[in-house]
Amino acid sequence: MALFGSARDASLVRSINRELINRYIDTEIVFYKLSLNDTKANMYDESDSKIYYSPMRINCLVLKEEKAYTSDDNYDSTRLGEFAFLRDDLKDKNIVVEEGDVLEWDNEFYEIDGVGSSQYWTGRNPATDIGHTNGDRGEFGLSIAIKVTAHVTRRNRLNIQDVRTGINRSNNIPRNL
Amino acid sequence: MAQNIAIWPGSSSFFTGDSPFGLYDSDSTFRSDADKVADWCAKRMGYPINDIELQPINFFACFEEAVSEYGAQLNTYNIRDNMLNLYGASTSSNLTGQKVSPNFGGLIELAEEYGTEAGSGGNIPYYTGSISMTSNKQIYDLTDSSVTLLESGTPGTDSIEIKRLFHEPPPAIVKYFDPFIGTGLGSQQMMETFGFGSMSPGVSFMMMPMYADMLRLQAIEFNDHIRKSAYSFELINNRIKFFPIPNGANFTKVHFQYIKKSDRSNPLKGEIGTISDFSNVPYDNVVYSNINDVGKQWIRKYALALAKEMLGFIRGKYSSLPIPNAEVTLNGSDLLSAGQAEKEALLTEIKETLDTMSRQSQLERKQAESDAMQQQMNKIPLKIYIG
Repeated sequence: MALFGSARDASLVRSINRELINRYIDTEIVFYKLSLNDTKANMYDESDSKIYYSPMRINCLVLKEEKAYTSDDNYDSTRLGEFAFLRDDLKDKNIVVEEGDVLEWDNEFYEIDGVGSSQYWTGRNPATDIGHTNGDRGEFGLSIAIKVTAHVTRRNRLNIQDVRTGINRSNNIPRNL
Repeated sequence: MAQNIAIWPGSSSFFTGDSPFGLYDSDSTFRSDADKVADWCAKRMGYPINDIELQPINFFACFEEAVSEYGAQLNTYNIRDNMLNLYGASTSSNLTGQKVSPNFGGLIELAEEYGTEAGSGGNIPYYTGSISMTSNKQIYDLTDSSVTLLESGTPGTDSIEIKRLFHEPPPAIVKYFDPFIGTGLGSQQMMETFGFGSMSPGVSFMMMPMYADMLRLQAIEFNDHIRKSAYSFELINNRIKFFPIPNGANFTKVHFQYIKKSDRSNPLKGEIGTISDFSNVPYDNVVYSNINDVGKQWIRKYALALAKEMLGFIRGKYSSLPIPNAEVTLNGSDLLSAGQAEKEALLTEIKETLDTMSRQSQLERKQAESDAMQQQMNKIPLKIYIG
């Protein structure tokens, strides 16, 4: 029987986290959930016309790495980023973050490479705690965060924003020039 | 399903039973102030900029404790200042909010034991007893129940202390009226001549000046003192020795007064149900609505200190708390130390304030005031009278 990390204490941790992330820090990203049903894939299960659900604004903590150039001629670059979400916030909004989803932040689009949720308070996730799930004891511990690693991707591949659009103005050059 | 414990919602609504002890819930002023104090404390700790991880009932508990602490300090001071006046008073009357008049009750009670030893009052009964004399026997054992008779207790069983022993020679006046000796003044014969003889010993005093009686009495006493064995005794432990030797005619019984040692050493001499010490002086909780604004401000500040301390305990239960991908340390220790320092300062303040109001302090201040006034008056120039 654990003495520390009860559901009552976990509520305090959750409350502090919400205050800190949603009110004090208040860093918002835009989350685009990939719609698998609407996205058509080719025979290799690839798609160059992905469809996303409407964007959602979510608070999180962001760690943005420096830009890294991927080619020798320095024409192509990318950037890695780490996004940490409060798990209970996502749960309340019924959001599931998965690989392939897209995050927009600081005028860049990040495609999610990996999702992890292994940060537990008091070392215990109540959803998988055997004692709790068996009904032997109450709820102890808390799964704090969903941690996401992502890289910056080209926006013209995403079909989220119209890029390279505009009006070709007619030339106003005098004839016979 | 995750449990979400509510925190301070921004306002409260006090209902009877919301405070832990419910000591002041029936007081409408307390009820209305409870919500205001909760609101004030939350705002003083940073709400609505910060979340306050307390519930309204936590603030109500702080408020109730602050009122009780104020009352306890007040009552402690009153008890300390009045204890000597309260010893032996009834515990059934409520002294809260009452003016206690000084009296000598406690002081006299402290002195009663001296009165007992001196035989002038006191709080231990004096009993009477007697020793029956046997001819030619000088020494008697007081524990011998065949010779000693006690009003209370049993000889040899109950330990007694003789306080007074009535063993003195017969007064001279007895011999003065001795019908066989006569007065030698011939007054009886004279009265018989008038037909008043044998009517009353009062005739002895007829036609005689007072000094003549005194001289005659002194003569009788002087005679007994020189020519007869003195009436005295010697009492050591349980044995008593009488002088002169009893002969069956000079004295047959000696009376005495005594106390039982068990009475003297019995510490429970007061009435049951009277004030005996600090714990049963009948001071109850103060009536909140009767507290003045000075007191109410102290209570509010003390409630805030308690709330800070409580929030400090809550935020400090875990030294650091996890946030996504990191950890944070809350201000629990700051709140705790601030709350405790404020509590201590408030308690010191109220104790010092109350100490300056004790009877002793007030008299000292009054004396200083009159001394200062007298010094000032001395500096007023006196008029020079020119006749």
